[in-house]
Amino acid sequence: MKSELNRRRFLRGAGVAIALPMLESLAPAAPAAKAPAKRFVCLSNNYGVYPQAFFPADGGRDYAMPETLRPLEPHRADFTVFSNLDHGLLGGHACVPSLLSGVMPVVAPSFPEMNLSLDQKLAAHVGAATRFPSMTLRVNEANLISFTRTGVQVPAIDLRGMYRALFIDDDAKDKAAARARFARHGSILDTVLGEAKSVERTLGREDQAKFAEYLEAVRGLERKIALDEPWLDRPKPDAPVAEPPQGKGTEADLKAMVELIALAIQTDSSRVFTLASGFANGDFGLSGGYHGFSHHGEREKEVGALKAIERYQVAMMGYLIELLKAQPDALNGGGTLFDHTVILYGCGMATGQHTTKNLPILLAGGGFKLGEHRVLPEHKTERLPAANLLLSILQNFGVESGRFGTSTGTLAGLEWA
Amino acid sequence: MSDLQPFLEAHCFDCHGEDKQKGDLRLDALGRDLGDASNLGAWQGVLDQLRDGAMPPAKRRQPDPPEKQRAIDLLARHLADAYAAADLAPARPVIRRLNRLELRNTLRDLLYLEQPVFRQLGVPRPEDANGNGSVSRHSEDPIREFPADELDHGFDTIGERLVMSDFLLRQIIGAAEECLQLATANVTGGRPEVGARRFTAPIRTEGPGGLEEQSRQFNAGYDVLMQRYREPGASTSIGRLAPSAIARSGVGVSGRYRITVEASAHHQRHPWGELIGSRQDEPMLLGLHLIDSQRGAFSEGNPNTEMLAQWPLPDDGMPHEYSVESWIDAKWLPWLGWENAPYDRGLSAERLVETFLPDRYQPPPPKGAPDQERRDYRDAMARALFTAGYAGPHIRIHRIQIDPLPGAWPPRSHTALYGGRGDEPPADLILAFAQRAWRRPVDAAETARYAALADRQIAAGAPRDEALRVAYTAMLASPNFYYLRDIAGAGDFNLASRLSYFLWSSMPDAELFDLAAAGKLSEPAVLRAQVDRMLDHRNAASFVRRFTESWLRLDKLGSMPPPGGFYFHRQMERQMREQADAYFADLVRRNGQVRDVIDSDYTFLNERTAQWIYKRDDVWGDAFRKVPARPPHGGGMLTLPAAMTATANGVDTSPVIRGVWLLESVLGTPPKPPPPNIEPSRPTCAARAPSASSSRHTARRNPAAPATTRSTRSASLSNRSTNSVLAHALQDGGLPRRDRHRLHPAGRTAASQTSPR
Repeated sequence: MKSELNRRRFLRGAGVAIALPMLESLAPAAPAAKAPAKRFVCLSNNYGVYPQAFFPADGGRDYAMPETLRPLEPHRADFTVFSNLDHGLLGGHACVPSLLSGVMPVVAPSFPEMNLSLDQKLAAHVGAATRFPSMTLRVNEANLISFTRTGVQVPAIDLRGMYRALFIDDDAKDKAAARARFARHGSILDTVLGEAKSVERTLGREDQAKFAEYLEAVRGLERKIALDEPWLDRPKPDAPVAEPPQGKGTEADLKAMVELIALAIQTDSSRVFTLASGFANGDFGLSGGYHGFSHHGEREKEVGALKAIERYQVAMMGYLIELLKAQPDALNGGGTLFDHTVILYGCGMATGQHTTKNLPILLAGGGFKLGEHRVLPEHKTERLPAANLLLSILQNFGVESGRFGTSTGTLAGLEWA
Repeated sequence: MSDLQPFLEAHCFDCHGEDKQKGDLRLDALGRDLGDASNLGAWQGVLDQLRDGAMPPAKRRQPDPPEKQRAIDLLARHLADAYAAADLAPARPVIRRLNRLELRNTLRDLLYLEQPVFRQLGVPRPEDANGNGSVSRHSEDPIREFPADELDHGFDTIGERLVMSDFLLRQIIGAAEECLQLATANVTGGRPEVGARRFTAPIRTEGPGGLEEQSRQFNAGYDVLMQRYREPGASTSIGRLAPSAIARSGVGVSGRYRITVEASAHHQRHPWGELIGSRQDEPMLLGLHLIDSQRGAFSEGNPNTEMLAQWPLPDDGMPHEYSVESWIDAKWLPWLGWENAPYDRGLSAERLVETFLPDRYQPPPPKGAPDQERRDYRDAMARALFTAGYAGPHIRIHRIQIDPLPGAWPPRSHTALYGGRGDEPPADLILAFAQRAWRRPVDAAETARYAALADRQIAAGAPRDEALRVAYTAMLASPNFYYLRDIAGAGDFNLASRLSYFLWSSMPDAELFDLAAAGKLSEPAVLRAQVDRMLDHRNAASFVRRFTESWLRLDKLGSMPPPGGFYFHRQMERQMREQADAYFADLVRRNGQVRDVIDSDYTFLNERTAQWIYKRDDVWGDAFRKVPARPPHGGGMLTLPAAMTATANGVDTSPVIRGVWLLESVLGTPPKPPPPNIEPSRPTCAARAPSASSSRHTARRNPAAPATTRSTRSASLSNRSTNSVLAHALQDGGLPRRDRHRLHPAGRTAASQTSPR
């Protein structure tokens, strides 16, 4: 505690000495160009991958495309597959929820932002700019990866919920209730502000300084309500497609979900998405369960099923890339949607054997420098935490932050020089 | 202070004077004005060093003992005078907002809420029910989305550190709306009818396997408990008896109930001890618990369960009636367990028959026989066992009855908000609400704006109750509710709030308000009686928990847990907290000796902690109770597993971390901050906690910092090379002999007992 104070006193002293020249030299000559609007999509599963078919044998740009990644061949230059990247955790299935935070839920209380997941951190940054700050989605599987800064899991919506959220107007009753809530909170704030001002007059000077926080909180919340409320009256975009039937199997549902994500980006309904997809008995002509397949014991049937499921997930990532490449980015005044969309594929558990070392992670888009099999240091003293990749994405998104979860820095080599 | 000058000149200035300033200390220039807090602190440090014998250092010339004693006495007297003078300056409480726990407790008491979620002591943590890493998905806790309050040296009640933001204000409004909704009864349908329910055999109709299930068809008019119910992670529901008929739904209507159980104990003393190792010399204990049906009424991993009562059963084989009254949430229900039952997973009908009824025994079918044949065999053996007369110990439950207690309708939570008749003027209700919500006498002028708010809502077409809720929500978000401050002219009401937030972390109750209104609360005798009453009140559990968390920094428990194992599977963290609570609560209740904090010949254990941490098999049941400490694990609070774990880094114990903790939290003599060129030590556990490690330092290898670490090391407990925290908890259980003198009243702690600090 004392050292902090001393440090602060030092900084204050130093600040006095150099404040003026610093400020002047740093002042931008003209208002900065508007930062581009970025998007983030995380595609995930809950059982990891069959690694022999996922990771390329060689590193670098000219690797032979492994079986599972083959659907991404047309986009080879636009994505990178990582080796030796993980969160350094142990715990099998319990690590799945740590994909976007690097922190297992049970130990979350020891971190300043608990196990806040990347998507929710980004959603806070987007704020009221879009109708939905984030969308947490699922197809035949629980989505376990989105957590608020207090460690509460964000509930996920399915295909039907997603379509309705995007295109179907809330019914009049819900809208009226929301409007009433805004009005109610508005008058509550008016009233407490009145009281707060009379309380303020009775306080001593020191207490007044402390109490200023409360007054500012009331005004801040008023401003936020003013930003949120107009969304009620903004019409949702017209639905360009009919509502996809839900429950036609993972193949159809996942494809429809990916199309909806692309539409949501196109209509700027949201900029942050996480999706977990799974398997329903009968998909791909297979009978069994995803969890069962993942414990394949190298048996041919189970390995085959697993590879089919994973190949399809990867193919859907490719499909999303295709859809986004085909759309100009009107919001950012040029380029395609893909240029400003980060797509992450991965799972917080590496394989069905409960290993958590060397997570399967693919990164595409966002303007990153990609197109290789990036083999990171393998030795335990040199390994990099996967949270470094999360921090890179965070900064790419425009969030000014020097750390995320367990990160030790950004992942070097992703930026164009 | 000038009377000290000769001593200082003779023994101190050589190293702490004009020429040298060892440890950055220069005594000849140190201010002599003890009215200044920083001077006072520095001179207290000098006194401590003198008393300790740490200064002058051993290699220097030592003062004669009488000379030194005279200097100590002089300095101690100066300091005592300075402290006394400082105490005369009236302390003025600073305005501060409620922290999130106080908010939840206050809403509970203000709105008369009884939901189980309001009985939690801590903040909602992601709870892993069965150690598989999947955490509970949602929470009904009104403060679930509140960010953690800022701590100052472990305390979350420091006004300066408790910040306010618009995010928090939105959360407060949300929590207030939610809680007001909980307090509102649905009065349109009239009193919800719930009849008395009587459950008789078979009370439980499915499972749990084992002897209890096998015996069911042979039990005439009763259910049995034969084995100990297991802790989380054991995946068996043996030993848990709840009415299957309501196991999925709970009791259906929230309210007060009387639960009556008719039970008999059989064969407390029995001839089958060879296979069934029950405690034949102590009465069987029947435990009554409540559990949340939505997370599994029979699930051993369900964290939402609490014990209501424990009854010793007379060893007479006769049915006796036991009953207890409690509020039960709609979705909760009671269950019964035999608290001090034996447990042996290998116990089976076959083995019992083979050993004790050899005439009826048949050898099992050969390996690989069809399943049906094996089932038939097991059935035959069970039949043999139970028709011959089961001579093993067991409890028979003849009846569980759940009777709703006639209470006021609408309930108090409702009438407090909307009035008993439902046509009282809103302004009157709002004024009455303000007296309690704002914890002081309020006149109508102060609540006029809230009455106006309600009127505007009504004018806009809102129903009366809804309009009132809007006004109440505003009052709960208002500074008068949310900030604690002394109000000029509020007299004893200020004292009532300070007392209640100190001892209950909540608002004053009716008795405190009455005494404050009568102006009697500040009378010493009344005050003393009230403090005693408040410490006996169930709300004092908050004080016990938060005091141990803040003072011993047990709030750090869980920040660096061991990487895996039973710590998670058996929910040990929760057990450790409760153990620390039990120990400290007992100390408070008995007004026990301070030295019991350091060492005692007793400790508090339940079966799980005894078995998994202390490796003792002589403690039974889930409730913590006082038991003799068994060396080397020791008594006292310093060696509680909670303290051991909170001061270790997750994998092994670190003498540095524990030493710093001892100096800071126990001895009240924080070590100096690390020199600037020292790397912070890294915790070596799976969960890295950078925030917690920033103040630690491993300076052993760096010659720049020997002076600081020496005291750290000598104060810390001994470190041995084992790689499990909990193994260390055991090994460190007794203080090593050479450290003991430091904690003896004659030693270092004497300063805090005799000096007026």
